[in-house]
Amino acid sequence: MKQYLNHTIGILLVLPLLVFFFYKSIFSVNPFEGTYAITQSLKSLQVELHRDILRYRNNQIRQYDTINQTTKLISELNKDLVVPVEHNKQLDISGNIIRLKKSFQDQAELVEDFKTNNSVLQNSLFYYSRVHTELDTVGLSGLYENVSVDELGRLSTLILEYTRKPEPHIAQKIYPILDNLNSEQSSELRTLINHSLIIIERLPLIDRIIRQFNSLDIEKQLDDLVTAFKDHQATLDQQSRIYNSLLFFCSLYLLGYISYMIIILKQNRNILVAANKQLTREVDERTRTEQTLYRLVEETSHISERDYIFNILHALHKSLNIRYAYISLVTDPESHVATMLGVLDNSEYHSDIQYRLGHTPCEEVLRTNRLVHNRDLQNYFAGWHNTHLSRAESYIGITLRDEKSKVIGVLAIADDKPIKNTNLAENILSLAASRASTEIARHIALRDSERYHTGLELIDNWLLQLIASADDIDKFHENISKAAREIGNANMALVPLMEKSGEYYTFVAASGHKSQRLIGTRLPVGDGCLCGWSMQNRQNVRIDDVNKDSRSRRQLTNQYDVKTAYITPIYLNNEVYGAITVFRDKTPFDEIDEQLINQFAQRIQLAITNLQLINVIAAEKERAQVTLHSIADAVITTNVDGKIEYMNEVAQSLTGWPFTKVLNEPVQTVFRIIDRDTREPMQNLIETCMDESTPINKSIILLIDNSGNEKTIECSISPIISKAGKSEGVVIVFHDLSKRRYTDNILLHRANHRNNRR
Amino acid sequence: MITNLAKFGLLFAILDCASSYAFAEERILPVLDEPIQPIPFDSSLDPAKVALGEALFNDPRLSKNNSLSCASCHILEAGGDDNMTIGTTINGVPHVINTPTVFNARYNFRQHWNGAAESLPEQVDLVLRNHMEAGSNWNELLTKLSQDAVLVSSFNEIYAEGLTRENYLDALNTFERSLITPNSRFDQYLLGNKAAITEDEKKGYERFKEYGCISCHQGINIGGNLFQKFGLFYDYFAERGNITTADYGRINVTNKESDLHVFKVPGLRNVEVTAPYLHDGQAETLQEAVDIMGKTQLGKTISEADIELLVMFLKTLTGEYMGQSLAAKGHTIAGANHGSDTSAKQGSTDDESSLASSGGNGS
Repeated sequence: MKQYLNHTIGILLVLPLLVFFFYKSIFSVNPFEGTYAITQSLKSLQVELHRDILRYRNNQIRQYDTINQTTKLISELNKDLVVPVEHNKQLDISGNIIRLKKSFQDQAELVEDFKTNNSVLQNSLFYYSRVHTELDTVGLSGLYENVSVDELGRLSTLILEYTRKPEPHIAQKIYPILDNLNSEQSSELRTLINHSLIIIERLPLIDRIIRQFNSLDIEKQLDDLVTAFKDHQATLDQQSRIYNSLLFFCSLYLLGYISYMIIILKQNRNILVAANKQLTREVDERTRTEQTLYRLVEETSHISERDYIFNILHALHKSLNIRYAYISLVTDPESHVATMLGVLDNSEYHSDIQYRLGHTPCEEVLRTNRLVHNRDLQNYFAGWHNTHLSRAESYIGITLRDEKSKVIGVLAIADDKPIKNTNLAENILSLAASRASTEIARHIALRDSERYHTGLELIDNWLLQLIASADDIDKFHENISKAAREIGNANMALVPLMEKSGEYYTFVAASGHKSQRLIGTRLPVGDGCLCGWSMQNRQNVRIDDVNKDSRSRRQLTNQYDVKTAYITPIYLNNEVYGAITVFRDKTPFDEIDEQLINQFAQRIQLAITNLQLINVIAAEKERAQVTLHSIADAVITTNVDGKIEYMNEVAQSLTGWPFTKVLNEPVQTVFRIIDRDTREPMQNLIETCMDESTPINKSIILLIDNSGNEKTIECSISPIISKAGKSEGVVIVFHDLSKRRYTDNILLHRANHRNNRR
Repeated sequence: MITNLAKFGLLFAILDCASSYAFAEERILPVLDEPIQPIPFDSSLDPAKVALGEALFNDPRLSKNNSLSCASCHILEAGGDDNMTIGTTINGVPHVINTPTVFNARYNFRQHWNGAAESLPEQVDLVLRNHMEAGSNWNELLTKLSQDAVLVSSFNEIYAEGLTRENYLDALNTFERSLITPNSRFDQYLLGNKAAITEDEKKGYERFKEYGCISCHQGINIGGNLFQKFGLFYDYFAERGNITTADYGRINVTNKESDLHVFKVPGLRNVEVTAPYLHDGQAETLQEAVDIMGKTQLGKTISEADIELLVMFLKTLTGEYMGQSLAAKGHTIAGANHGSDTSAKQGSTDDESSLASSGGNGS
């Protein structure tokens, strides 16, 4: 490209020159051409004018029309004569023209002066002519009586002489004669004298005008101008010749350059065509490969993971024409262990092969993200013995990443000979990798999800067993430890319980790795054990290597050959109740494990709380019933609708209604009371009590029992108010005044107390 | 003595010999044509332009208040002037100078008494902008005229650019160039018709040449081709008194001391019908004018007999316009015009007319 740029600049540099020379040689016009023509016309007019002026002077012409016409033409041409912009300083044509124009103006004035003076002179000459005629015809005596003919003759002779040669000494001779004549007082003589004087004065004046006219020397100026024009024309011609030759050479150069360019372009074109062909071939190959790959992957994407992996590897094998291809799953690069999800050796396929990462190209890939090794692989990775890639010489591998860019595996191809087009192979591998990593990440997620749900089911099952064993607290704890071990998929599970003081804890249950001997061990919180730390700080703890954790107690963990741990505390009524502790030999606990164990701990918490509550409620209820049954006053309770909920024995005997019959009947049915004096029914007392939420005490009212007998009673109706302040019914306490008792207040108090508890 | 006289007589026949320093060969063939030339026939003028120019010539919109056209002062029927001592102005106030005739003005080398205008278009321009004459300007005039659809279309027919200053001047100039008066009796005589003028008139022409009038009044227009001082031998203005700016003459144009009282020599064609005479119109008859000219310009009192001869010659210079002699027509129209125009000048006009006619009868 740079080459073309240079050529373009080469041509572009020459082109303006070419145009310039062309313009100069073809369009070169003498800027004075118009002026030259005007000058020529002026020249001929000027000659004419000069000639005419002299003719007038010599009285050969007697009218001024021709001279006026010439002068007018000259003046018009003079107006057209433009002072040109000077191109060549040496010529100074402008200066000449300016001088010339000025001369023409001067000349025009001189011509006017000449005409005026000449006409006067001519007039005077006519006069002398007439004098002569009159002398001849009329005779001297008639006109100039007192002038002698000699005198007049002398005067005319002198005038004649003066007209020939207007010199002062002749004029000096004339003046005395005129003085003599002047002495005479004749008007004719005065006229004669005047005309003589005019001739004497005007002749030299006219000659002076003509001398001035000549001194302007316009013809000479015009000649000079013409010469200057011709010189300039000659210069221009010469320049034109030079530009012509320059134009010729320039054209020649350009022609040569263009021919050269054409040759170069032709050569370059051939190169380009070849390169283009090559490129087209490569593009074709690549497109074909990619299409193959895509087709293979797309066609098979719906089938299972294993087949999916196989298909990716198979597609790579087919499209790149290489021998080996494999996908490895690396869940934890720290563990130095990877799993080959699938490995293809030509058509031979193996899956799920675990191998150590140490000194393998796979490890190199994980470290550098991408590895391209095109020969001598075996020598480079000397400590590497892999049966599945035994003959690999070249290798390309890239990491697989999930959507959070976390490394999840390696996709690699290898061959027993160098790979031809590594760029292409790399690109294709990238395409396959993006596809494979998506799939693998999806499968991992699916597997996690399945594991979680299985874990939840496990938890449910174990809870049922736990509840069943709730009576026996030791069995209950043991089940917890077993359940934790199973749910956490752990090698060992411990259940420590916190003492109330919060200073010691005791292992109440253990499972796995002969850990039963730990049961009963009582340890102080803060002695460096992980369980204690977790319970004390109320934090979940996940540890990938207990031996390296500062909070752990080395002796304990060493004894039981465990490495990873997870601990979550169990709370009860906001107090730390205990903890669930699980250990594994190698595999670290992941998020799923964490979630499951947390879930389990919460469920246990709930279960324990529920069990304790159930116990408390049952005990209270029993106690209340016993109390109500055992008191001596009659007691009826209703719900919020005024339906009977409960009657004790005394109430049944006083009203004469069996409880079983009137349960959920309106209380008015049973408790019929009237005023002893007015015998008005007083059932509205219950409604009033409910509406106003205030207790009502009445003494000496009549109760009508089931059989219609009237009994004098004293009664107290109190609303039952829930904790939330809502009316939930009434409690009616009454007794037969004839068997007066004094336990009213106590009973009422108890009833209220019961309601509060509930 | 006789020898002396003979030498003196020879003086003018071979005057060219006196100048020994130029054109030897020209001396052998002296040109002795008459100094007066007949009016040449000119057929080069475009009739359409002439017609349009005539319309403009008669158009009073030329002046600011639409009162005066060219024809108001240059009355063709009255000899191309206004036959008044001093011209009139747009305000009705008298002008400062006598109106020259427009006939044959094309043969004048300058226009105006003082030669202020180099050409006819320039003269129009000066008149248009003169506050005493048209008192207008180009913008105003063209605006006025452009509202006249008929006139504008006439212009458009003739000129590509339509109504413009240049075209206005061109049309008017063309018309003015058509204002020539050929076929005067003297022209016929010059063209070979010996019987066209009487013996007395021939004598008058001889006097015209002898007295030296011919030294200024020559050429086609019998004058109009040079400047001359008025009062070469005699101070006209001292006697007349009451000197005005116009009397200063060409000095008003050139500011040259030598141009004081210098005027363009007027042409003498149709002089019969252009009374009164001189730049101030002080000479009411040709006789008076000839007398004054003799005194002032020739330094001679011309005898009455010679004046009559000269006047007779001058009357042969009256030519024809549109095939009709200006002499016959000029009197009637001039009289009518004066009757309706200026009552103040009535008397003198009548006198002029009678004088002019009596002069004519006399010949």
